[in-house]
Amino acid sequence: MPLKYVAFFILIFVSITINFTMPKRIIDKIQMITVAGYDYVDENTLKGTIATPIFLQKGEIQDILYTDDASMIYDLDTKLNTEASEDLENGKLAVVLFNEELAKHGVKDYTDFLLREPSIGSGLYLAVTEGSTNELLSSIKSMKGAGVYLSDLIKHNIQSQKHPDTNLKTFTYSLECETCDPFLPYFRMVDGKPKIDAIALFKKDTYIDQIPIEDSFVFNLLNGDIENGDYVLERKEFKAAIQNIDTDRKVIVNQQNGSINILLDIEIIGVIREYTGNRVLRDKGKIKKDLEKELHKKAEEMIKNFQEKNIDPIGIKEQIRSKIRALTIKQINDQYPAITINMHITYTNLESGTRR
Amino acid sequence: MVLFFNKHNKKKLTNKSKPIKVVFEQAKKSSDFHQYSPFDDSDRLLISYYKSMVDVEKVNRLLLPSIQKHIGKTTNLDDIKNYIPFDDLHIVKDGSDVQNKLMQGYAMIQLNELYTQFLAVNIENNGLGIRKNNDTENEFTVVGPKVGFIENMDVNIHLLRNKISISDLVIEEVIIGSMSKTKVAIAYLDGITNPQNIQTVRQRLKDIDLDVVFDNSHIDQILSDNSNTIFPTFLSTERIDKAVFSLVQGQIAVLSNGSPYVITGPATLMNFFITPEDYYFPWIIGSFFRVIRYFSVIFSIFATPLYVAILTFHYEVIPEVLLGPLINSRANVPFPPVLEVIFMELTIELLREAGARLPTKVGQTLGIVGGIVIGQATVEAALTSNILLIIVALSALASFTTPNYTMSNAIRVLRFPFIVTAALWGGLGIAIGMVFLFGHLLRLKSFGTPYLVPLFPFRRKNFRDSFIRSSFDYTTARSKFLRPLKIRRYTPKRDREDINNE
Repeated sequence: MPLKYVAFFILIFVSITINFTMPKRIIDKIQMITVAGYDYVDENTLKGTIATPIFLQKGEIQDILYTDDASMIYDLDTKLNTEASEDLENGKLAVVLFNEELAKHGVKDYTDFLLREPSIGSGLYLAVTEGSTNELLSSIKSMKGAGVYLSDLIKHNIQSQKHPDTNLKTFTYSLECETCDPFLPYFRMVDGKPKIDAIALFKKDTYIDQIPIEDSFVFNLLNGDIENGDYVLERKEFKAAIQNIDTDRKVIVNQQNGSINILLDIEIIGVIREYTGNRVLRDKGKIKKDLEKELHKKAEEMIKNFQEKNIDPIGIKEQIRSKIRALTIKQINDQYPAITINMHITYTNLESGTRR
Repeated sequence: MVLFFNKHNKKKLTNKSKPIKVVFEQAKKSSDFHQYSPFDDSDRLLISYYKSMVDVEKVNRLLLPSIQKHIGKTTNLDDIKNYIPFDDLHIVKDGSDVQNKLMQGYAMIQLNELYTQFLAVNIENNGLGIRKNNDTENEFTVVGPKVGFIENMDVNIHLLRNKISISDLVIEEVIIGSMSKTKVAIAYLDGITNPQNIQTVRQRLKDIDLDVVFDNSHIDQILSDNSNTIFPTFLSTERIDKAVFSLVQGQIAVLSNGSPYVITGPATLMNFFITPEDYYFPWIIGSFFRVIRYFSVIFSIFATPLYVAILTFHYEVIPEVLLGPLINSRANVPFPPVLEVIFMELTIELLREAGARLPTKVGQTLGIVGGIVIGQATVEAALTSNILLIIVALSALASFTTPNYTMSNAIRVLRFPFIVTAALWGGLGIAIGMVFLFGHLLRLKSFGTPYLVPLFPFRRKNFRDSFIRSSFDYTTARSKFLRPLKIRRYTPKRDREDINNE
């Protein structure tokens, strides 16, 4: 290699090494924030609580909580760093909690930093808590650490369809989308433990209502397709547990004489696993009829509620926009509370199980 | 006499040859040079040879008795030709010829001390001091022939000809080395190998100016297109089947006397990860092992740099469940990940280097010292983390899977620049390192053919026998990048389907 190449390489190498250093974040020299909770104090102040795990021997984790008041999240960051023994890093942030009051005042300002920070992934979970987030975080006594505990709690509920799919990405998508509204899991303390108690409904970025978690099946039904869900039908005379439920939602949009007419065609396929009545085979028809009726009633109530509050967490306006291209977004938003939404729910029983 | 004298004079004038007297005087300085007459009247016949180069038994049993028996009838050198029981006989007149022949193990017979005409008799002792056989211990395979090349080139050529029994296998010989006078041979298949490549090799060998050729790898480096690379540009092997496979593909083999390694070229990067066992096992198994080998190369180069990059800069990519074990195992280590890794890698390199230098019998102790003492003790002394120990050990293990020793050395070295770039700029540094590595590999050539062939330039058909080894039904063609004169190697019969359908 000629000398000039060697000199060239050395020059480049030296100049890059001198001018460009990466910030070092050696894993045992930092504290990783796994969960952050924000409480409302007043108009300009929020109270932040973060939990960072300390890894003890034998796989045990102890959480350290840091709390302080600040006007902005990065302001909080600087304040909390003065308390922490190592540098606090956001990269492993898994769950961000907002308390109800903060959510009522709008969360957009606080999700902004989550989107800007490159080391935070979009699979992060957001959630609303009834009481203060500080209280909730300090209540968690788990070997996993608060962050993993909470994110596992939300994740497995989403996977088993107890709660509709949500994360930072879907939340901010719904925020940016002009026709939709987001929803988040809602935590309540029950016997000193956090519990997903409801689905928090937002109008844009402000929290306005909730659906109890028992009705999440109906919400899922309206929101989209369910795979492997389950539902318990309760009547006075019998109870039936229906499992392995697959649903298929079709939104049929009609426009007649300028008024929009929507038909939600929902097909449900399921298996009757448990039945307290006498003979499943004979009562199959009745179960089917009762189930369809019950779901229809609940769904209708839910949609009426959405229309009254003028929110659209299930994305009907988006369907209208894609089907009727002539309407502007403003027209759709204006017409939404008044459109008629009909439902057609059919249940098909695949099998009712065998008995010995 | 006059004629001789004239010739002698002429040669002296042109300064091409040494006078015979000088040759013998020079030779007599060595104690192993013998010059004597088997008769009492010493001027009748003189025999001279280097005792160390000739087969003394042959001299005593065959040469001397036959000369003594027939000396009465002998008037000139041609008479001797008729009765001595040797086939390789030359009449030599020139001084430097005499010198060369003496060095090659010829005995010189001179009728009269005054005559300048010699009968050179080949009594060389070829096998002396050279092992008789070579088990392919360095490139071992479980299945397949175990005989390897040895230090004697004639035997090596014999071994090659055993496998390729057609006269198309051409061996060209050249002498290289002003001191060693090593015989170096080019082997190729006439009518298959591209003549241009042969000419390149011929020309490059001709241009070599060395004093002593110690080994074929010496020639390998000088023949190489780029001497500033850590990658071997020619495949060197001690296995006969590998050398023959290269020849059949249309590559050229270079053998040299005194070296049990044969180099073949033009080679591509893929050639270095092929073992004969790929072809001895069914193609699915062969391909599986080949893929594992490629994977292990990548692992061996990038495992420790990635460890450095992730632990120093990119903690985000570590799954939550791994954080605990990683942090715990590093908890007491006082060094940053880079120093930890370099310390551990150097330890492994030391072990490997020591293992290569130590005599085999002491070598076993090294395993215990390296594996148990150093491994366990460094972790307990908190000089390194447990997880790193596993990664380093695995990547060392992975680098051993490379069948070619030169290539596996290249991979050993390659790791260190990557560790440095990873320590400086994390994942970006590894990417920068990759850019340099690929830039180098893309420019690398072996006898003028690109080194990364099926990848760049992209050759779809070559993939049949590069990353995987397809069935023999599909590997019928020679690689096009070698530009062989005949593409097709063999034609498989197409009636297999019928057999299967019966």
